[in-house]
Amino acid sequence: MPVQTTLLRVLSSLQSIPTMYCWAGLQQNFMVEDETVLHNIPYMGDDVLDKDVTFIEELLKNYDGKVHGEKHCNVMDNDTFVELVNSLWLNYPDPDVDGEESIEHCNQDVQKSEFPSDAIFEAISAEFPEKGSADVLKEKYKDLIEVKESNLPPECTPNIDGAGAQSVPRDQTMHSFHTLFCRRCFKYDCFLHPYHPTPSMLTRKMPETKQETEPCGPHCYLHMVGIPDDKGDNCGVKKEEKADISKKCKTRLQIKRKRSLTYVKQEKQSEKGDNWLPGEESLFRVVQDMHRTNYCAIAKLIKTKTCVQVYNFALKEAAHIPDITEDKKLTPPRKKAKKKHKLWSMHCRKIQLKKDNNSSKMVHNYQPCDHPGLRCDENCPCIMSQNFCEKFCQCSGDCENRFPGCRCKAQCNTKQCPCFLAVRECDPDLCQMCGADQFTSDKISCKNVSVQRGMKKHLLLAPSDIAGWGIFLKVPAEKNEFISEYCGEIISQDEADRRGKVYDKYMCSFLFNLNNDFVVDATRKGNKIRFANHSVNPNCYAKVMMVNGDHRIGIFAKRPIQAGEELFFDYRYGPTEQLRFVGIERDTEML
Amino acid sequence: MKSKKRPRENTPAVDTQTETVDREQFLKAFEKPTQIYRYLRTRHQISPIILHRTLSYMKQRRSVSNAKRKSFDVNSILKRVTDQEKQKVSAKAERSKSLNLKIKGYFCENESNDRVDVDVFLIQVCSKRRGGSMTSVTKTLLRTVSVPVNPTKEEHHDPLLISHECFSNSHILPIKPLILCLCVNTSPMNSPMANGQCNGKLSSSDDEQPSRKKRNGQYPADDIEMPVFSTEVVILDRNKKCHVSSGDYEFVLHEQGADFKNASWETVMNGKHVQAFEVFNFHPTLKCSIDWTVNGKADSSTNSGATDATHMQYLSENQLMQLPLNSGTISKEEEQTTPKKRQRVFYQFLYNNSTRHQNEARDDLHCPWCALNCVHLYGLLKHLRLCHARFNFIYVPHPKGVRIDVTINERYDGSYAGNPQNLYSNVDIGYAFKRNGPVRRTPVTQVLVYRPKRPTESFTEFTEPESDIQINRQFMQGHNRLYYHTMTSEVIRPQEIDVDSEEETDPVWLRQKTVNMIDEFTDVNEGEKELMKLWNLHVMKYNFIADCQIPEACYSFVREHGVQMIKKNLSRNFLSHMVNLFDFSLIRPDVVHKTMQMLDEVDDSMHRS
Repeated sequence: MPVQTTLLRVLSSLQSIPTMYCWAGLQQNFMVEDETVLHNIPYMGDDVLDKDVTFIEELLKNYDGKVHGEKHCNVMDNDTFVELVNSLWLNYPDPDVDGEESIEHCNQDVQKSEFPSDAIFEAISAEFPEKGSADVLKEKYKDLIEVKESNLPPECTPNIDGAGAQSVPRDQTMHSFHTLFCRRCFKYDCFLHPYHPTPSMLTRKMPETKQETEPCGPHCYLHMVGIPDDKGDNCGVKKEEKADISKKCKTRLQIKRKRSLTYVKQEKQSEKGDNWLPGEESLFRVVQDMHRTNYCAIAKLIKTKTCVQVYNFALKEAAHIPDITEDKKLTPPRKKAKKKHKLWSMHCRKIQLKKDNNSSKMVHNYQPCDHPGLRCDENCPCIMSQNFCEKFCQCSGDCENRFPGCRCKAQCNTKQCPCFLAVRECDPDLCQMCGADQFTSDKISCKNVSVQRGMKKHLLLAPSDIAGWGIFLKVPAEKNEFISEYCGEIISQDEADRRGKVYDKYMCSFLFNLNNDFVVDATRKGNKIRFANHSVNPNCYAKVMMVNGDHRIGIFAKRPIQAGEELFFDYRYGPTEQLRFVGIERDTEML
Repeated sequence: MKSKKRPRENTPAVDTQTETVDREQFLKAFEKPTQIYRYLRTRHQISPIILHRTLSYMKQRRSVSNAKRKSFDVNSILKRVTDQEKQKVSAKAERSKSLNLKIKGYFCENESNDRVDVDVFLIQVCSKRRGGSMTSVTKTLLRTVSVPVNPTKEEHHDPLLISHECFSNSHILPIKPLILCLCVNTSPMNSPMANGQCNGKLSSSDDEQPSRKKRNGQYPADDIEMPVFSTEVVILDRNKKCHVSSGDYEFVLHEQGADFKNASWETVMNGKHVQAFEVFNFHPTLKCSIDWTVNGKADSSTNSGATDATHMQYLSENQLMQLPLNSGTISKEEEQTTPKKRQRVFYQFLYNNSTRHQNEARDDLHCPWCALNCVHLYGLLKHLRLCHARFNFIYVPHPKGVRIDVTINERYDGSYAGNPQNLYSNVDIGYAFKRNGPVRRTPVTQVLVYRPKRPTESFTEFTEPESDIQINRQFMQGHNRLYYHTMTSEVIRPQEIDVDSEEETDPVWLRQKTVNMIDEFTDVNEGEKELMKLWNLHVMKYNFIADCQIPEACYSFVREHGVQMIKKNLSRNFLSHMVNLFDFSLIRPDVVHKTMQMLDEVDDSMHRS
């Protein structure tokens, strides 16, 4: 064997970097459910737990002794149980049947007995004694099968674009969309709001009641007899009369329709090519709710049908009973600007008052109120939790409890701005004077939109001058300038208490009180600002703000900060005393 | 420290015990930094990181002035190269000169023979440019000449011609010194007498110019049986300077292998007995005449490469003495040492606000910690402050000279203030201070925000302790630390620093998460799922925040995902989605129409292409 030689290379020594536990980055809070089982027993070094045996016990107590992945409770759940019984049943036919009626059995071939034999349940019971006796298992199986069978028809509506599309009512077609859409995040099944109210359908931005008077083409349904009545009514008459007349017209129309229904049916058979596919029917119902009797528009959206066909189908469906209440809603008398202004100044006074009274510092989470037909009074959850009603609430737009937004022409960074005063960011749908409604961020003069627009500073991570990691500013920041949002998982206060026990033990906590109901925990998910250290003489401060209906934590510069400076904020005293501080601090506090 | 320590007398000893404790503390405090600086000094000598001569406050150490730099012009490079070429040509011509050596006679009183043989050797010493480990010495015998002993009259014989080939470089390595070696072989029976007497005749033919320098030694007292007398004449020295010019020479011969005494400085006094010249009286000599000929013809002019002064050397076998070649340098040295009175520098060590020690430096302007000659006091003070920051230095004028107060710098934190990228020797992050050899540094762009005028040298800056403004004022815009990626803890390289990584609104995991969450539903059909995923990813990407942005969000959704929707056959689902947005009062019906129209256009363009 040849002798192998090589140079001795000495690797240069590197300074070790602080420990970092794995975390996931995000720029918006993420709500998670309470954990009912302990996911892992935290490891803090060999000696720590030896010294403190009671810690783990207490921790387990918080979770009722449940630890994730423990075998005895999880080895056979209901599904596996049913599967097991079924496969035993299939592979080991009833011994009684097998013995006595073998001939018959042969004839019947594969046909099974009515119910799995007792022997199967006995065997399972013998193998898994903790699951109970054979009788118990049998009962359980019966129940499970029943539940399964009742569940069998799935809620799932077939794909409207697919071949198997069915003709279903509008509600069913729109069900998934309605239930999953979050009106606050504009997403389906969002990360932040577990509860999505279905649309109220009352405040929809309906098209002008005026229908298109012009026929869409030579074959437009408007050329058909009987329609001009409608048309004439809608465009010509005075407003106050309009409702009555249109009602009249519609009732007339209904009668006409009813009359013509039989006629249409006959006609339909005669008309060839007017075959409505189930998918088209569903789609018609979806669109029709939006356009009512504007069949030209409906036809345009459906694409595959002409307006005449749509009209005929609509008559057949007789489904477009006009929603008179809604029509009324849409034509309320225009409020005069003067009145509105009065309302607004009243609001401003109210905010001030609220601010003064709110010495208790009880800040509750906002939940859109939904009490149809009732005004927002002392029973309204928004008023009870001392929150304003937001645009997400189901109450009407002129609700007394709604926050009116600001009319600032400046930067909204002083207490002159009602939004700033109420510790809210400007709402792009309410505040239009300050430019908060601009589509792109670079045109906004308003300084009170930083959190929602994510106008954060570039932050850099490096070992801290104080302890562990630290976060540093890449570019300088002015006083009160927005640095970053403190993001993380949103957990309940109870969950925070449970988690906090472990974090305190680690002497490292990323918990941050958001409001009375929730806590932000940046341990598992967060953004760079989580590395900011605590200081009693900090250069940043934290502020919990109401941002478009969500409480969010903004970190702002307390003084002008130079590029390359490490960022600190006081973990203990935010302006609203919202902060939960780290273990070390707490200990020194106790002493 | 190269200084005498003497405890200060005038501090009254109040309590001897506390004093000894204090003293121990004082020594302890100063010990560590001193040791560190001593270690650094050694390290610096072995492999220097910086050259002190390049520092602006050490201008005096610069042997080559950089005055040319000011007038430097890129176009001058060509001129320089052509000049160099010309010089080469002329150097060739010079090399074609041959040396004519005429040995006139051997003068030795005790030589009984009529003739002796003189071996003429040429020694070529080649050495590597750096690290003198590789030297090769080639000694070639040119000729053996028979020379009359103590001739009374001029004898004519053929001159020895050393051709120019000998001077040209036959070796790969550059020839550094070229030495002519003359050896006289006396016959064994004619051993010279001990303490051989001089023939009493001073070299008449050797009327040297007054400026000529000489090196000579004394003949040792030993008596050796078979003596070979020899001498060496340096023709070309290390710097390719020619030391031999045409003329008559008398060389003093020394016995080969004999130890030679140290050279000594002599003062030449008028007419006084000079020991140095006595050597001619005691040693055998060889008279020669040397001529430079160009292609065989005698060259009357002196060599262009030679110095003005004629040099004659007496070199021993073992020692190659260096002589000051340039008279200019000598005068410079003299200027520095002689005119001024020696400047005395006192170091006063303070601890706990009281003086503990006062030392007087022996080497006035040498740094006591690293023995660096700072030449000027300003340079010394600057060096102390900048290179020995573990101490504070304060300059105090002193009637006898200069006093420097030394205290421990309590605020020294040893933090690295340079480019942090240089600290890490990753594959693409060069470590500037690597000691194995030169490495490419990481290129970093820094914005100079402040470039002060270099203050005029004055001692006032040393009379006060260093202020924060002096130290902390950043010339470069602010980041002197190494940053890391927040997820991977990897070093952020300079080219990555401007990208705010890990800060996107839709990180990969979150995108995957929303897709997974939608997929998990059992009561949502596949068409709805696909559309919801596309929409969610779109909203996450652009982070829409307001109702008023939704119409635009819809348009951009069609623009970006229209093709995908057509391909996946989702147009009716998209319509349902749009109606859903309408149901939630986010858009007007005309937005629905417009988006559907846009989708149709996408469809059309897809069909056309």
